[in-house]
Amino acid sequence: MKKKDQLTPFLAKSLLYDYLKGNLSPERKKAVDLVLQQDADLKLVLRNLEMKMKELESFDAVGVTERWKEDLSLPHPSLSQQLASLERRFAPRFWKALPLTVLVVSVITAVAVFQPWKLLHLNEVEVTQVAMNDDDVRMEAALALSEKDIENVMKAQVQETKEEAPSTDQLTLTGTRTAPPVEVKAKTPEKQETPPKQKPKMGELYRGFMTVGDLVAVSDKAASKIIALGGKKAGQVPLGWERAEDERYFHFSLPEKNKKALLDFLSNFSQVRLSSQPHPLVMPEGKIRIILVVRQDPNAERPAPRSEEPGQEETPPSEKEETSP
Amino acid sequence: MDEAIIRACVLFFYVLLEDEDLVYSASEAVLTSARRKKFKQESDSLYALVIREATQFYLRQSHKTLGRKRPLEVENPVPSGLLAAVRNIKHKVPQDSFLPFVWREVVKAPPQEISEGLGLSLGTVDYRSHEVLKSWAGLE
Repeated sequence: MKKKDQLTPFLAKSLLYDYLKGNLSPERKKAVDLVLQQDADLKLVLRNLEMKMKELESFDAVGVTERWKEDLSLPHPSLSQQLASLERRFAPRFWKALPLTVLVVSVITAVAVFQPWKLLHLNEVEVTQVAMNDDDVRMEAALALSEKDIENVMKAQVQETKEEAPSTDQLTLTGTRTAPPVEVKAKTPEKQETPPKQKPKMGELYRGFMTVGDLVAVSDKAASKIIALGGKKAGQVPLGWERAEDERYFHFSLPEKNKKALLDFLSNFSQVRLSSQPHPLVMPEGKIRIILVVRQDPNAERPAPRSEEPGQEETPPSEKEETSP
Repeated sequence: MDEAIIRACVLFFYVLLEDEDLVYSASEAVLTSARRKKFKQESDSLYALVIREATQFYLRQSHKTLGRKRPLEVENPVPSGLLAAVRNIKHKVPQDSFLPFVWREVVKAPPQEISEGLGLSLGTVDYRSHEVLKSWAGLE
């Protein structure tokens, strides 16, 4: 080692800290070592420093408890208190409101997804389309109506249009129809599609009445003729239903073209009074609805009573109320 | 928050405060202040902020205004004799040297964080630590 690289004890003493820390270069460390070999006092100083630094290593083992770590890791004491207070205040409400909130959100979501009003609308459209386009379906619906249903509808119609007097065309034996031809139109959609002040289009109902001498024979023949002419039973009672002891009831639909043939046939027995009434129920094109009542002429001589069948005395429940005029 | 920072703060006050029951409150106050300043982006390093806040807290004697006390809870506490010896050093050396010594040799915080927190160069921190160590060893 050159002389210029050698350290004095003073300089070596000032480098002891870095010597202990290991921060010196190899040359410097060698120079300090050389001084330490020659100077016993400096060696003592080094030993003291080393001992103190070793003592300080006791602080390396000092640690913080987990509880302190958790507490000191919290954001802010005041903020923590506020959060805890809010939690105490709102937690019960939150848990109470949670089921209701979930329910409401589910319902809203379901409504938004499925859009039930569209389904309802589709149903209405479907009914309207059937009513407007399918005559057979309309016919079945019309035939299912009893006379009482018809009367109820007529009463309602009369109340709605008090000022409009129903035009009744009395027909004679020949039964020429004077009412205008009927357009096919459904009941429900009519109110929706036509303007409110416009007069609704009306259908027709024919009511017939005749008095005969032999009620039973005429009724049977009339029922057979109606069926032969393409007539179909309407309402819920059979054709020629015995509404009273001296009265038979025929409620049926008939092709309009066969109406004259039927009247001709019935006129062989007695005079037929047939009247046409406007009615809200519109029949399909080419079809008419007739209610014919045949009564026993009280002045005529009654035929011998026939053996009564037990089934004929039964009165259908839906038309029992109609027996009393 | 980093556990090393919490430990450094607690250890700093553990060494310096005579009343050990104030260590928690002092650490809490310093860490809260450092977090707030960190939130305001006053410094990039939270460790350096904690060193600065703790040093200023001690220099202002703010711990004397703390009313809340909590018993000291540290793991592996140092012997009371050693702790008293270290505390006595502050009466022999200037505070400007003693505080860097505590951070450097007792707490053993990273030198770069000490330098940033105390606003001193790395060499100054080491020099002052060495001076305190020599004084403690009875060499001066």
